[in-house]
Amino acid sequence: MSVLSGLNTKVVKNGDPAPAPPASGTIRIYNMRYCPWAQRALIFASLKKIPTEVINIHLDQKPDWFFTKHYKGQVPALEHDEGKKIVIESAVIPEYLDDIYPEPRIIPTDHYEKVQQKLLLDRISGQLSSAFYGVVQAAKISDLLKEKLVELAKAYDTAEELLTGDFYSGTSKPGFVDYLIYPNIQRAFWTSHIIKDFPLKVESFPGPNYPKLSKWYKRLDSIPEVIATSQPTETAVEFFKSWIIGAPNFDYGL
Amino acid sequence: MSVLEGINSKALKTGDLPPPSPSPNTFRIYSMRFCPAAQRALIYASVKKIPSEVININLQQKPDWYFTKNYKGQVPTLEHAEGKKLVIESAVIPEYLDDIFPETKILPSDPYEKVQQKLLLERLSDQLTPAFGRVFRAIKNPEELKEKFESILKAFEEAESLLEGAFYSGTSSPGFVDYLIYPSFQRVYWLTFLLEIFPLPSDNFPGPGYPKLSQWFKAITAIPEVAAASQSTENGVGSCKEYMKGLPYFDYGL
Repeated sequence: MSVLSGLNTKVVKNGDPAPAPPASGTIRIYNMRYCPWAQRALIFASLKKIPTEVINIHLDQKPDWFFTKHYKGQVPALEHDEGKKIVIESAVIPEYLDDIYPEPRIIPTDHYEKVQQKLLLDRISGQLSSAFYGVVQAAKISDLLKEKLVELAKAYDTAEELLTGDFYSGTSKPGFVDYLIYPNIQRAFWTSHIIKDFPLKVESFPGPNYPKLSKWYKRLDSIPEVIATSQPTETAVEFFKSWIIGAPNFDYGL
Repeated sequence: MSVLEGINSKALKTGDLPPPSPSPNTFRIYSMRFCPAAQRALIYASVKKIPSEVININLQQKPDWYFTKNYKGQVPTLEHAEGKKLVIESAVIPEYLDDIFPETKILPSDPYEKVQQKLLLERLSDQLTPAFGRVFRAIKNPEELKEKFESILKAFEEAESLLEGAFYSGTSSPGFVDYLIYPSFQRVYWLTFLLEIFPLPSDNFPGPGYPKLSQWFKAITAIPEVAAASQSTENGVGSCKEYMKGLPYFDYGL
């Protein structure tokens, strides 16, 4: 049973009224169903079994009141303590959740190991996401696309190299980096269904050039608490098609 | 007495031998004298009274061995535990130092207050750093300069409005945000001496348009531990002039 209520509700947009403050004992996450950054917060809430209310935001027609939750109008934003506390930023919210709901703790308690996990996330995430969004933006401009696909392959080469064991946590179980980088890699999986000559393969994604990552992805993809935060491939691919052409359908599949 | 040894040593460059591993209980910070990001680590070590050995790096002719300390070849990098532990990133090192030296903790212990300080720093930096960078890069092209000034003024207006009390810490003494954002303001202060057309004055910087910030800047500048981690105005301005001429500036004033 998922702790995330409202995950598949329709997006709230400009003109829609502001929601009442979250109830005591519940956290609220402002989300968009296909956003990899917001999914980080959802994954952490799911793993830590925190009762969570999800409200989806229309990212092109944001409600004015949403800017009181996040000054840039981005997702995710975490709201709790009956609306008195708001935390933003996709890598900050999980750390905060580990602080205020310490069991089960996901980030190492050793200070050096903890900081290395944060730096590793920054490194992998920075490379994968900039390469990925480079591909997406070039998808409509075919002369740039080939070059961007080469950069994407290089970013995944680095991700493969940095995976020295089963998981980026350096232990026998997934950890902070694994859970937070998974959504970005899932988005590349979805896109591998759409773009021709994509260097990452749909079958046993990301394919034989990335043996460790392929095993890693399969494992992460089968964790129930991660699945509970994810959208199915079929609907996600259709959303991504709409997003790539510049007309995102945020409620696709609902 | 400053705890920072070697802060004004000459910068190491390509061809220079790697330094021996730091001795037990010695913290080493790889820096560049005029780098605002590296200065964050120096200020934190100074305020926390952590005896530190500073090694300056020539950022235009980086030694090859330096990339084993920081894969991006950037400063700052913290090295300790006889070289077995390396931490990078200017906002991450201070938090790590607070974790391993908790008696002189600067960040709040409360998880919510702590996270708000980190988010506030990120918000201020996200505006100030690129705004300064745009002006600094245009400094050799006076015709481009005036349009770049607008983003500096906008960043300062935001900084003034976000400063609700005497300090960004929200308390009666400076905190994490104050110490870490100060170098960025100092760099703009140096610009006021360089450019006659600069829209902010040197006297009582940043001037009557920013009353809270002016008091704030004066207060932080007067802190001995901050001064110990800073370069003088004379050397700071001089280094910028060398940069404008395209001359090496890392060892300016030595």
